[in-house]
Amino acid sequence: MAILPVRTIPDPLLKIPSPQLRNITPEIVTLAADMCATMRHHPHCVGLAAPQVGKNVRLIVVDVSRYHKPHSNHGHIVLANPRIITSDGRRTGREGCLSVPEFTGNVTRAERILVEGIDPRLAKDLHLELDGFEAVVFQHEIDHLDGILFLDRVSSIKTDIFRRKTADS
Amino acid sequence: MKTNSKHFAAISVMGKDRPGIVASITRVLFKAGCNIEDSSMTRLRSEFAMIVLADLPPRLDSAALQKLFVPLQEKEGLSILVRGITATEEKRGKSAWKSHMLSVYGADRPGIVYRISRILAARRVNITDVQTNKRGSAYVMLLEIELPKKLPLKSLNATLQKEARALHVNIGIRPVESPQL
Repeated sequence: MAILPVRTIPDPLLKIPSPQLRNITPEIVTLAADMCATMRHHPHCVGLAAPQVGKNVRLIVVDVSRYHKPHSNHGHIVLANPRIITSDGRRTGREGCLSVPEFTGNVTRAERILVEGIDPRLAKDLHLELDGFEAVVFQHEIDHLDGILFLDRVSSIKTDIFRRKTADS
Repeated sequence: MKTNSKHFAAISVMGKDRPGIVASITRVLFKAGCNIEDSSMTRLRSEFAMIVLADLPPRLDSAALQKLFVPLQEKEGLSILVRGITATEEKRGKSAWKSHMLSVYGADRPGIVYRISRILAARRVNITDVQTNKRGSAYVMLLEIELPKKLPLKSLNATLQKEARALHVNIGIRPVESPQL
């Protein structure tokens, strides 16, 4: 397993949508293992998408159990061709990204999602019902596969605590 | 000015960052009987800046308040400017505006802020909050803007996307969301 260098903006590869994986090759299984190693190498990293390590393929790894606050989660997940089937609810939370160093922003996303995909290690279809922080991480990583960064979804600067007032409000 | 109407001042402060600036400024305001209403304070690398909107007591005007800051300006090397706000300025512009978030990012080059803000100014779009950050070769700018109600988002976005291609940056615009829970 290798720790891969992480691409950061303005690397144009991050903005390119990735095509579906047609079959799960041994290279993909190796890439997944390397992405997991890379995720673990970065202390606060809870998810990584293949474009972040320079590969335009639809592959993500997530492990929310690494996060210091307790969240309901499925532990360590590797997913190829992930697809959001349904989503509902809304939540706004602060996000950061290894590919956008030193920046965080508030993003509004679905509270609950149903995700399908293939676990390349087991060559098995997965159906995951996700909510809360884990659902947010999956939406963030799947966005990467479509060339979308959280900067494209930031809902407000710095903080939502005080909405900027108009002069007389 | 009517005796019972509030009068305000905007106080801007800039100086090299260190512990104690906020305490020094607010001590003067407190002793003078001012009440801080809204404020924004931040550090940019080594510089600290604040804007404070304060409600002034009846017998204190902005010129007198400015004088109270003279010792601080001299002793602590702070740039302090007090500007009186008239009641009519305070009342300006009840929301004929729609708040939007604009994000711009890509490889840094001179002129990004100017070329985007020029487009906004020409369409009477008001910028209310901006943060820019340069890290290595990457440049990120986030703006909160107010669109005149009669300006269609679609046409503004089309102009911005054209500029994005010319500048080789990514530009996104979307309404500011404030979900009520």
